[in-house]
Amino acid sequence: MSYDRIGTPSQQIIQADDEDLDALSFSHPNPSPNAASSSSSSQPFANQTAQAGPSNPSVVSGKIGQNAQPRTERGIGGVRMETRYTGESTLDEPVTKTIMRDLNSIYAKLLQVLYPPKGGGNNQLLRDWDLWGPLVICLTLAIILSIDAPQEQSMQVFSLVISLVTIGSVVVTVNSKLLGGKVSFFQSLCVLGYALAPILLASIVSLLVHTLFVRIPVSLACWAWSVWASMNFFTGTRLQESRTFLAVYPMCLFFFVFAWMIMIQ
Amino acid sequence: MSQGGYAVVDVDDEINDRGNGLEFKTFLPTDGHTPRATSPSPPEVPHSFFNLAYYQTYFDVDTDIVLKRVGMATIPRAGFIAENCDGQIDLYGPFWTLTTLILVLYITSTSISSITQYLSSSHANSNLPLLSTAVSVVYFYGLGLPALLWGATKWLGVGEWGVAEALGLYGYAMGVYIPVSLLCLIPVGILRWVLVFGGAASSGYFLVQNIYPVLASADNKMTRLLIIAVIALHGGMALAIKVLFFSNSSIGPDPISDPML
Repeated sequence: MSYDRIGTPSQQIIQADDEDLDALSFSHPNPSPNAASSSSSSQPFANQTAQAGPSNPSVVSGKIGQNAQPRTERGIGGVRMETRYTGESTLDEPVTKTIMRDLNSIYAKLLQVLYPPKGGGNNQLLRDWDLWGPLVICLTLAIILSIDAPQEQSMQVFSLVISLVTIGSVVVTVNSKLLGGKVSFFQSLCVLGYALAPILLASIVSLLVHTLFVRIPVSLACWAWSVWASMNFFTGTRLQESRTFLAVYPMCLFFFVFAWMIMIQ
Repeated sequence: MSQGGYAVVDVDDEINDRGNGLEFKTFLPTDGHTPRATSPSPPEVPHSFFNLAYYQTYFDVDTDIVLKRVGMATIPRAGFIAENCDGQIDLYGPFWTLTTLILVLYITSTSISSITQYLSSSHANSNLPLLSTAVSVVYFYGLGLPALLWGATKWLGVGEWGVAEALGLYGYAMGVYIPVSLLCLIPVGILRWVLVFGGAASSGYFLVQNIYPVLASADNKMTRLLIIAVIALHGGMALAIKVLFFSNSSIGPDPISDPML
């Protein structure tokens, strides 16, 4: 697991190494690879941190006021580490609450990837990657495309979409890493998965509307949206200016396969 | 703990760093930062096959360089690696040329069959098998075959080129099929044959011009016969592209029976 951070100049990169993780796992009910923010416990307070925007609707339901200082920063052995306390124990809370918190986290990340101004305009949320959202999006896309396909091909379509999403996003990520981009492997997978959401939207639209003149513009628009969303993220990878196109081009191909599948169905 | 230093460094990328060499090396971070695969030191190329940094030398290209190489590869001439690539081939261009070709083949062939179906007003049919066909055909010919060819030359004792050069030559050579495939949207049967075999002749000449000097450098004269295999397989590939993707009956049960459609 690589702990490379995409860092805008203004944001301090917290290096999580083994020592840091060990310390975190004791202070935290749900140890997460990211020292900065952990998906399960930091969400209700994401709107209190300096980075997350106040306009983020998914996190307004947090328990503001119960804990005045959700973030504590300490130094252990020269490593700067950061812990957050949710205000109550997460061990004996209702299951629905836990699930809702994770769903909220997925929703917040989706918003962040698809429309950064609304999601707070920073990559802070995405440092805390997860693969649940991408999995849900990938499965839904595969199911919708296989429903749309002819009966005898639906299984083939399903497996093809699943393998295309997985292999494609891995290849695109490895490509941008090979070109010299500073990006965490799983974070990039997470962003590419979330960026598939517009394509999913296009597939739902084309499932309902069978007119070719609706499908093609919608698919192309959603394709452009997906590319734009993932480009937003990858501009933070400090890739050289002359190579940006080389990293973007595979993404265009990756999303275009799905857009074309939707158009041609 | 005599091996205590091994566990400290980055787990993801560096674990395969010491694959083949038995050498003493400290992995303790001495100057405050651990070595990372994403920022290799340029002068020494890591020789481990599994290291990401090993491949980074083959992806050290800029946009205009890649575009120039793709353009120059459509002109069949000798000395492609020496002249256009300054002796150092990249793998970005070949790989994404092949991937683009797959996508273009899929798009054009599905468009052709969709238009045909639309004109004959039969019900629409999905053509997803064409995508897996395109992936397997193009990747096998563009990645598998050059690796086999390189292995064969290595076995026969020609040490003039690396596997990257072989992959690069084949990958760039296939680039000419991309405009050819787009032009094959024109629904004229004989024009498609002309276009596909024009592309095959161009890329085949390019391959021969660049591979033959390598084969000719061997002591064993029989090695040169490999060029016949290269030409034959290239012709077979062109035929496969035409039959699989650009015959109007590509959605039918047996495209082989009447490929002139």
